[in-house]
Amino acid sequence: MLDHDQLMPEETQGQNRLLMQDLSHYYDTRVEDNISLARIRARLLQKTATSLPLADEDGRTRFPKPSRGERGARMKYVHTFVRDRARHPFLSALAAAVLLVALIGSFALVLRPKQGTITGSDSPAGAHGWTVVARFTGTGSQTITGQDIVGHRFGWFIKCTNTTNVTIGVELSGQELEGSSGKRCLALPEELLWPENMSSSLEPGRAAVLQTIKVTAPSSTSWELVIFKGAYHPPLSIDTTNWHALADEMDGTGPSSWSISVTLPKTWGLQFVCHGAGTLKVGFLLLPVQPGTPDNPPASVSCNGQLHFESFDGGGQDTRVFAFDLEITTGIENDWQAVLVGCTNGKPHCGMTTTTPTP
Amino acid sequence: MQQPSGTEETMGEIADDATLYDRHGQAIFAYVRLHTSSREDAEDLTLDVFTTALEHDNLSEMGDGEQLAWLRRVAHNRLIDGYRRATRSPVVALDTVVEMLLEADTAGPEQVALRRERYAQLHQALQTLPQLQQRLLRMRYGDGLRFAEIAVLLNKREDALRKLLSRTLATLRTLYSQPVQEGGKAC
Repeated sequence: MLDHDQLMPEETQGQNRLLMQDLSHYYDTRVEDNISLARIRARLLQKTATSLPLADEDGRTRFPKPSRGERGARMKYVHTFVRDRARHPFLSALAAAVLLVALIGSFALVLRPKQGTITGSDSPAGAHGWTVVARFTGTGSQTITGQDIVGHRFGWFIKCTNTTNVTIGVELSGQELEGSSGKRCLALPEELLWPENMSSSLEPGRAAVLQTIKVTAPSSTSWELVIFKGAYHPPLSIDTTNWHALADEMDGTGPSSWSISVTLPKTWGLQFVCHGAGTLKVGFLLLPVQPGTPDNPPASVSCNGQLHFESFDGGGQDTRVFAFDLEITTGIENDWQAVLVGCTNGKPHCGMTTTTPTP
Repeated sequence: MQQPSGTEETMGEIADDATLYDRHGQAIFAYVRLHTSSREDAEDLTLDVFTTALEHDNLSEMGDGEQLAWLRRVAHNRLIDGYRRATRSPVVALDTVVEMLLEADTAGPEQVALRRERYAQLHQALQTLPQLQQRLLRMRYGDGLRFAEIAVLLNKREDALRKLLSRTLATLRTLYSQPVQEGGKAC
């Protein structure tokens, strides 16, 4: 399946032959995927075919795409304008002059990025946990400085008047974010407005200052950049006599999986919370499989910001676990946090009398 | 009999739509599969992405990379907008994975046993990798995508992904130079 012109040296080395073979086998879903792709293709073509041909009033066939209809209307207007211009050269020159003045005026206005305002109504519909903090418009390359927007999570969205490559560089607390450059500026449908998250390299729990935004674009490209700030949830706090955290907090947005190496005590638990809408399901797998751990993951919990806790008694001695795989299943817009905790008093069930205690 | 010109145009558009899908369908489907609970959901969402693309004339003016980036972004937002299902990538028991891998095996019992151990090791090692590395391996060896495509889908730089894959393979290779540990553990 791989394009051999693109193979890396490591992929062709003899010593990796077995590994490459096993990886291809491990991930191979070609048969099922090809069936799926063929099915989608057939449905796509059927969908296209059923929407044509439609007859216009003048009897001509037309493909019913709104954008094509609009384009047709624009073309008619242009044709009319060209014909009239030939008949009235003076009016044409006057119109051109007015148009030129208007263009220069709008260009001067657009060149100055405008400061954003924090307005809830600007938030895209359904974008849970994101608030617009700044909005800039510009043409060509711009460096926007002196912002000093403090936050823990930032996101951005850019759109252009034409589809041209535009790169965005963002500096948070003096550091350029990895992966923030080389973005494409795309003419996306308005209803799909949703921020790209750019907070992944920030330290958990530490606020950052968004200071500088650099947009690099051809001089002919007009763009609109929207900066978002995401809701912040403080790290889960484990500060009790009998329980302590066994590893760093795991957190994220949307469905995710984590894998950590950890030593589990006899009694351990998982504390977790979900912010957003709908539900969250937590599943985990211990390798090698530990006796006493439940076969089924806990039931779904609501993403209402309420803290949940599940405890488990493994029995026997503390065990070195090769891997603890956490599988989070939730809506892609939901924020979640989870932390593994261990009991320190050595008592069965950690001396708890209730079924769902909170450490 | 001459066909109406409008029909000729639309037939050409259908061909364009199919070409766009043939060019990027596999990559977008692979991306959507990472985030959906079932193959059926992934098919529906992929269809939705390319149906949206039908309504945007300017796609034909873009280069391959731009088209894929556009489609990926639409898919990303459609995933957010339409996420309704509760299950995704359920944790699969190791035994099940090994059985799946050996399903079509015609080798002898001894070879099957050896391979079973190797797959168990591989499965365990893969589970310990960070999510990004797992996704990279899946897209590269499961979906057969090019680095340029994976870079767009994962929103990373191509050279960074090459380095990451190189490091990942080096990590995994150590498995194959060490004997199987007691209890299936890999060091």
